[in-house]
Amino acid sequence: MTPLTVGIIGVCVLLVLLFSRMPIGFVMGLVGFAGFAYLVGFEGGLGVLRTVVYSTFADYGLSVIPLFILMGSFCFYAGLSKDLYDTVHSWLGQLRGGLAMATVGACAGFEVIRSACFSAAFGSRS
Amino acid sequence: MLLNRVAYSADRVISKISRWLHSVGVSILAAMMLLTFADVALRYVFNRPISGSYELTEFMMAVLLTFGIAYCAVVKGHVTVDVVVSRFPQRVQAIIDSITCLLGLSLFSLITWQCILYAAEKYGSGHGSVVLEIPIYPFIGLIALGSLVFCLALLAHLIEFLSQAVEK
Repeated sequence: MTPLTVGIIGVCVLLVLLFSRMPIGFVMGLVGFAGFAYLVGFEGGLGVLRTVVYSTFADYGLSVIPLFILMGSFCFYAGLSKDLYDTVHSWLGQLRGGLAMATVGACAGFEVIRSACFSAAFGSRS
Repeated sequence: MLLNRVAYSADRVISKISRWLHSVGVSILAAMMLLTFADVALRYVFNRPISGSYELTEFMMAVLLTFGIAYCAVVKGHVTVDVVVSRFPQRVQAIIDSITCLLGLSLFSLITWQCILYAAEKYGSGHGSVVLEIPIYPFIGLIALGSLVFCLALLAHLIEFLSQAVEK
């Protein structure tokens, strides 16, 4: 089979496995590994498996994600997001479509706080 | 039901182990937060950042992710698409789940095995990080440990799904 055929089959297998309730990350890993092992050989596939797992887990760029979720949890348990939402809701809630506007406004308010922190934290890195 | 009882006790043991690993991972997340804050604050105020904080964050990420993955499996928190499968009858769901669980188990047992080999290789070569020269083999070993516990969690789920598929 040509690499193109392998790729098309791989995408089909990916979709089938995704819709069969397998966790998304494992599906991607499995299909990637199987395709590479088919094209280059099983040993090569295992070699990719050993290096890529470490380099993906120990990635500085991805460290933003757990810290971001942690920040979200702090904001949630501190009641910050609820207060922001209530504020905007009391301003715009009585208008038509007030619920949607309040949601957008609360997001904007959160974004103001977040980007102020972010520009302080990451702006100096460059 | 023997299979059912085995599934129950396996699930209890695995959830205890993974909870312990998870609390270690969470403490590392807190340390990562403090490290990043201290790094940024020191750079801003004293213009003297912590050297090697980049590498420390990378190592912490490796441990954090690998220790969290098993707990996530125990509480069934991994992101899945269940628009199709949830419409099937219970037994068909259990059969499909056991097949996908077996696939995940085979992938992660390969990962565990390869990580152990990779750690041994890095131990032999004495490869370390660039600035602080911390050897990286312990972290690869911890990834192997985390994925081993994750494999055990998947095995417990597999037994559970099989018992669901067998029983009437």
